[in-house]
Amino acid sequence: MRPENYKSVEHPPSHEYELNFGPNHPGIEGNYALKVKLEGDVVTEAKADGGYLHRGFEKLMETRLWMQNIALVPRICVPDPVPMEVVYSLGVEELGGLEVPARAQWLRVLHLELSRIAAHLFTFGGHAATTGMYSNMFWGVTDRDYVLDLFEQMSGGRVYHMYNVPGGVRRDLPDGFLARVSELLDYLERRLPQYDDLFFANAVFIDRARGTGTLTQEQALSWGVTGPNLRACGLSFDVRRDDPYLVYDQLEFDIPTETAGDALARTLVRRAELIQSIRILRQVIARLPGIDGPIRCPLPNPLAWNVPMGEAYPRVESSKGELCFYLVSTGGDRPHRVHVRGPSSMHAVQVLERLSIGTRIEDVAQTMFSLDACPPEVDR
Amino acid sequence: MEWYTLLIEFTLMPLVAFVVGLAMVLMMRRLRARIERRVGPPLLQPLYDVIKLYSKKTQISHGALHDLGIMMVIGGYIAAEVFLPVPGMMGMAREGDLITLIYLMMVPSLGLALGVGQCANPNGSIGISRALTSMLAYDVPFIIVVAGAIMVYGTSNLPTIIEMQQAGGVAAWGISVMPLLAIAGLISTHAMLAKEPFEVYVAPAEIATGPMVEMSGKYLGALFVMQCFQIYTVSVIFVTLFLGGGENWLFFLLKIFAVAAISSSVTVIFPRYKTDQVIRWLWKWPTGIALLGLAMVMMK
Repeated sequence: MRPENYKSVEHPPSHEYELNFGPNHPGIEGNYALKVKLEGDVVTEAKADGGYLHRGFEKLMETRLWMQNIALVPRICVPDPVPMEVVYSLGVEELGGLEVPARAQWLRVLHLELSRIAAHLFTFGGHAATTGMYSNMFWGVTDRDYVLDLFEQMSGGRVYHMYNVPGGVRRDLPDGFLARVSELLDYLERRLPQYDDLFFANAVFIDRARGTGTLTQEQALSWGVTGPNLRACGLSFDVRRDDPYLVYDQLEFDIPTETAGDALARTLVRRAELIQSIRILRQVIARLPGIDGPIRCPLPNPLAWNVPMGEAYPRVESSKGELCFYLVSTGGDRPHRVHVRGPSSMHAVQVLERLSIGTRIEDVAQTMFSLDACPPEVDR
Repeated sequence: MEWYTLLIEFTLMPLVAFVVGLAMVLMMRRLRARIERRVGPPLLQPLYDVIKLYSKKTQISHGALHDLGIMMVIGGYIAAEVFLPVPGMMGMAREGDLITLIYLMMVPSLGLALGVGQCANPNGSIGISRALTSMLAYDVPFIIVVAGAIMVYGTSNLPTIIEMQQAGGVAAWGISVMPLLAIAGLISTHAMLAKEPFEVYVAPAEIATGPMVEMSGKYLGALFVMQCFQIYTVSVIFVTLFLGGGENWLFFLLKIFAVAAISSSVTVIFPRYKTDQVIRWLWKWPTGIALLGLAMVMMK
């Protein structure tokens, strides 16, 4: 006898089940989650689940003075915070009509490229760890720490620097700093062949990364993919060259590309970008001593600075892709609206969800790390 | 053999295996740390780990079969240790042989499958299915290696195998007589340890450490102890079959630590294969090398 309100429960077939990648999982990047449905070990559905890091950056920025926001923006992307400072500063400068001195622009490039190197080293480590290559993870994190040492000397902060401010930079370089940067670049150039032996040319890694999470150029363009992930599909687009900002138009560098569009191609593009960043930094080290002058233009009282009414949409090339801020001023002492267009919103949500479907469980973490998304940027 | 001698050996052999296994774990962790540019853990860290885990209070249990499965994990190896001859102690080695040993070495994997199956955690279940799949993969070359060794020595009795090698010196060691089988044996024993590139059933980034995902406290401690026994056991088997066993404790320890060091070095420089790649690779290379080695042995 069954009760009148009895309803049979429909169980899914025994070979289908759900698995949560995150928010506490070694295979997820940051406090983020990917909920997958599996048939056997093949992913049939994937749903990105963010929000674990939501601090309301965009709304918070509307409540703080223009200058105060400099302490907030680097926190939007922990591994690569410098582009956040720079793009916000560029926007405020455009709205306020500020002319940034030449020396400050060169210092910003120095800061940006060091940050790119640190972010790529971190990514190499994280990506390697998803395939069980923990040695490369320790190498990457250790070598990144040498870059953080330089940040500490430069700004006083290792992770969040608040070095770039509207109008220029906070302070000039300490004595002997450029020589120390040069030593670090020499060290990284010596280390790169070791990284090649251990990771980039490792037969097992190549076996695993080739063909994993493959994007075509058409898919990449229609899904809003930018940065190294786009260049790994064969499209040579980089904001530094195609819409130059600061002094990038005075520097010589190549835009590395690959054509396969898979996890291996994305990793190789980042490796080549690291070499290009070293090349850029060498030029900065050579030219910076000859550029004297102030490091900041005169600013109004930051506590009573009413930025003229207007809109600005500056963009820079971060290590993750194209980073833009949409800033609206109504002529007040704080922004009316700030929108962060970070590359990770696309890479960690729509791209990751689509690329995960049809892959096997072994490839989910590698696909995510090869896209190099930054979860706090999704939860902005 | 007097009953009390046997009793002492039954107690001492697993105990020695555990202590030496702890030292081997420490050596592997220190070696790994050096290659990874870290300092590594202090001397007594593996012991601290075991004590800490066993001193934890168990809050939940997944049932009697889960507990029984974990007991099988440890029990299988403890039983295997008394069949593994070491300098000065034979235990049951003369009564048992290689076949008994191989059988006993499968018990921990089956115990793990039984225990983890009770947890109903999908990560654990996937891990176990991967563990049993990779067991199928590495057992094929390993059985061929064992068959070749039995053909060469004319016996499967381990003390006799050691005596024959030690009587003839280095030239009579298995590694000199059947080098191809030794290579295949080294690869398959490394695969038994489930270290990279064969670390498919732990795979933290894929299945959140698989069988260990529902294990904490004493259960995790049991798996840690299992790891000590496992490293010791596979190293001793390789030394017994191919490196002349232990003439004395010094040489014995040197040999088994060298085998573990080779395994550890391989682990540090490779990522992990996918499960299908593990099967393909193990059935292709070590199995091919083992078959070639077997053919050479048969032609002699």
